[in-house]
Amino acid sequence: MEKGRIVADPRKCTGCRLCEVACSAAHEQVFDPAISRIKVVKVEPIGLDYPSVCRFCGKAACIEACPVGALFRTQGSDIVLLKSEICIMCGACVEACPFGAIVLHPRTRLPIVCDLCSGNPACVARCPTEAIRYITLTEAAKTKSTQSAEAASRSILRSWGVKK
Amino acid sequence: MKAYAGRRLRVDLSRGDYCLEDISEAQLKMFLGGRGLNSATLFEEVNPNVNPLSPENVLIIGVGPLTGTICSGSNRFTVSAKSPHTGILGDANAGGFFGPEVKYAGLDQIAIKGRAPKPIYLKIFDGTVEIKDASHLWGKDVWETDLLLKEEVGDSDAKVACIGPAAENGVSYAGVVTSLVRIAARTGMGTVMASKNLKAIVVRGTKPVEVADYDEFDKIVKEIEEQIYSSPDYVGRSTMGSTRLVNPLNQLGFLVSYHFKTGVFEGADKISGETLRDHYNVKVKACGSCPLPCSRFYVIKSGRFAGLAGEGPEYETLGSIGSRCGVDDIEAILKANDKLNRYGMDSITTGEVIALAMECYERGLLTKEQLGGLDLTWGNAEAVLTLIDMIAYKKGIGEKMAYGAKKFGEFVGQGADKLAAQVKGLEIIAGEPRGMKAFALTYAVSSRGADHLRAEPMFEFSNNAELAVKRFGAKEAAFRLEYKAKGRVVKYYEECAALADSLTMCKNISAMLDGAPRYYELEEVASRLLKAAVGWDMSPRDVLQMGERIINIERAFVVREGITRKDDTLPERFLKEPLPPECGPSAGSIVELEPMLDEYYEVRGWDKKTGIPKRSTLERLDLKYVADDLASYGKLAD
Ligand code: SF4
Ligand code: SF4
Repeated sequence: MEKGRIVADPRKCTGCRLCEVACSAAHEQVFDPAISRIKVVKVEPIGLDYPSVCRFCGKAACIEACPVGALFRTQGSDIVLLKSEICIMCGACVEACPFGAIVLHPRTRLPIVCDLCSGNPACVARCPTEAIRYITLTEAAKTKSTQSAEAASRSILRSWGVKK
Repeated sequence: MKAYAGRRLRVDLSRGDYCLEDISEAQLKMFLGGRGLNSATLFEEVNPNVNPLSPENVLIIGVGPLTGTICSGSNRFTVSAKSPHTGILGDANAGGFFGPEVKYAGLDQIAIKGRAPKPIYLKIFDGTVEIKDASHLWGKDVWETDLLLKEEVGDSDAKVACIGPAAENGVSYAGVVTSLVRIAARTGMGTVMASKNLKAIVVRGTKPVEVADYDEFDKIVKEIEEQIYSSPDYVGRSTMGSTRLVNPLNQLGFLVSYHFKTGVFEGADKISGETLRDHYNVKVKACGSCPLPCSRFYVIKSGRFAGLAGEGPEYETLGSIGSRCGVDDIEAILKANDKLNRYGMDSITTGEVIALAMECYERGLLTKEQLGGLDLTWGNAEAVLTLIDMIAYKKGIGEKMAYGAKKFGEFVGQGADKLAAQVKGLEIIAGEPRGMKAFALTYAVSSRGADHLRAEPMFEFSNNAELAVKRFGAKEAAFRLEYKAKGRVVKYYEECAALADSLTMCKNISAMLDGAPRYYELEEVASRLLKAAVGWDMSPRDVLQMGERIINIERAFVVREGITRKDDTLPERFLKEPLPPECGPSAGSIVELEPMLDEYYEVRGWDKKTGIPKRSTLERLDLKYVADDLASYGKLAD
C-alpha cells in the first residue's frame, strides 16, 4: 500500500520554522534547527519559504551512494535507516541527495534524515497553516486535481448559479 | 541553569579584541535577560558623562531564556545603548531569526564598546569570533549588505543584523535591521552601531537550547498555542497583522491624521489592512517559532511601482507615512516602507518629522524656498518619498530633519517646537493619545521616551468592568476614555512588557494571552515557563517583581541623565486642544495627565514631586547599589 509522506505547500508556509524546532525536540528533546530533519529553505528577497524534507525516493540516491552500506531500508518501509556502528561519517549520502534532505549531525557527525516520527510527524502537528501535511502522494494529487478542476470550471459553475 | 547559554561576549573594537565571560545566575534572577539584562548592563557601564556617539558608549544585544525554544513568539532580540536621538536610555527590539541564532551560537548577550579604525563586521560562528573588514560594504543599503554577507561567509543560514546608509550618514534615528525588513528601529541604535564603524553582525549557531523539564515545557507551550488559536482575534491578526487597525481606529475617531489635527482620515480605507489583503498581499509570514503569522509578503503587480515586493508594512508605517501626512496612496506608502527598510530608518520618527514639516508649511512657518522647492501640501506622496531620500543622505532640508521632530521644531522656531509630537525626544506613534488615556500615560512615563510598547495597556479597550474591578480596583480601568486606576493599569502592563521583552516573548503573543477567552496573567505563565525552562522556583509575584525591578533600574538610568517629573509630559496639543467634532466617539477629548501621574508615582513608590524612585522602593527591589549610585549623583528622593 502507498505510504504517507510529508507533502509541502510553499504558498501556505509562513517560514516560522516551528517544524524545525519541533523536529529537533521530537528527536533529542532540545531546540536546535541544526538537527532538524525538515529544513525550511528561505529566499528572503522574494518571500519564498519552502519546507524541504526526505522524499522517500523509490530509488534512493543516498543508499546507493553509501560506500560502506550503512544506509538501508527494511522490507516494506520507505524510511532510510542507519547502521551507525559501520557509518564512517563521510557525507557521501549528503552529497548524493538531490534535495539536500540529509545532513550530518553537528555533534555526532552521523547522517540524519526524516523517520516520520513512527507515523506521527511532530513537524506536521506543529505547523500553524497546514503548509506541511502527512498524506500519500496520491491524496495530494487528488486535492490538487480537484482544486484545478474547480478553478478551470468556475465559469460553468457560475452559469449554473452554483456558489462556492 | 538550563535555557540560558550563560555567556556574554564582550568586544572592544578600539583594541580589536574580545572575550567570553559567564553571566551569573544571580544576575539573571534579578534582570531575566533581553531588555532587562541590557538595561542593567547599561546602568552599570554607561554613566551620564558618556557621549552616545563616543567609543565609550556600549552597544548591547540581548536575548532571553525563552529565545530559540519552541515557545510562541520567542524570537526577539533587544539592542540597547545610550541613545544619540534622545540622550537617555535607548533600546529597540526586533523579531525574525537573529535572536534565536544568537542563542544557538551559545550567547545570551553581546556587549560592544570602542570604535574600529575602519568599517568592520563581526562574524560569530558558534564559539568563534572574527572582526572582518567591511570597507566594501560601507555605503551599501540593508538588502545589499545582508545578501552580500551571506554570500561572503558562505552560509545562507547565517543571520545578519546590519545598518544602512541612514546610520552611516549620522541620521539620529537609524535602526538595526535583520531579515531585510525587521528593524530594531527606535532611539537610533543603528546610529550608535555606525559610530563604532560596525556595519553588521553575522551570526550562525548550531548549539542546542535545553530546558529543565521538557515535557512540562512542551505542555505549557501547547496551552499557549491553544489560547492563541482559539482567540477571537486570531483570524484578523493572522491575515492582516497590525494593519488591521487602520479602519477600526479611524471609526473610533483616533487614527492620527494630518499631524494630529484630527482623528479621522477620509482616505483610511485606501491605506487599510483590508486593501492590502485584497489587492497586494500574496501570503502571510511569521518570525521564528510563531504560530501567529502577522506579517505579510506583498507584490505590486502594475503601475509606477510594478515589481516592488517585500514584507510588511506594519500599522505604524501606514499611520505614520499615511494618515499622519494625509497620504492615501497605498503604493507610495509601500514604496516609502521599502526605502525606510533599505536605508534602515525608523518609520515612526520619519513620519512624524515629515508630518510636522507639513503642518509648519501649512501654517507658513516653512517656505517653499527653505524646502528647496518642495510642495509640502498634505498628501503629497511624491514629496514624502523625496524627503525620505533627502533625510537619509542629509541633503537640503533633510539635514535639518535628520535629528528628529524635537530638533526640527526648534530649528523652524516660531512655536513649531511645541507642535512636535514627542516626549523626551522620542516621537509618538500613530496612536492618538487623547483617545486612550492609559496609552497617553504610557507615552508620558516610559523610559525610552514616548512609546506604546513599554506597556501596551490594551486592557483599557476591554470594556470588561468586572475584571477591571478584580484586577485594578475600579471599573474605569477597562474603558479607554476614563482616567481612574490608569496609573495602576500602566504600572502592571509596564511590568508585563518588561517581562515579555526580557523573556523574550513577542508582545503580539503576550497580548493574546491577556485577552479573551482565558485572560492568562502573564506572570503566571512566565512563572510556569521559567520553572520548566530554567528550573527556577519563582512565584508569579516574584516574576512580576522582576518586571518592576527592570522598570526601576531604567528609571534610575534616565533620572541619572537628568529626567524628572517635568519631563513626564505630553506636547501641549494633547493636554489642551480637544479632538474635533468629526472624531465621533473620541470627539472633545483631551488628556488630563496630572491626576494619572500622581496615581502612577504613588503606586510605583516614586516621589510625587520629582518622579524619582524612593530609596525604600529601590531597596525593596534589591537595588540598594542603584540607590547608592543615584545618591552619589545627588539624585535620590529621600
Ligand atoms: S516527520 Fe518527524 S523526523 Fe520527519 S521531518 Fe517531521 S518531525 Fe522530523
Ligand atoms: S511549521 Fe509550517 S508554516 Fe512554519 S515553517 Fe514549517 S512548514 Fe512552514
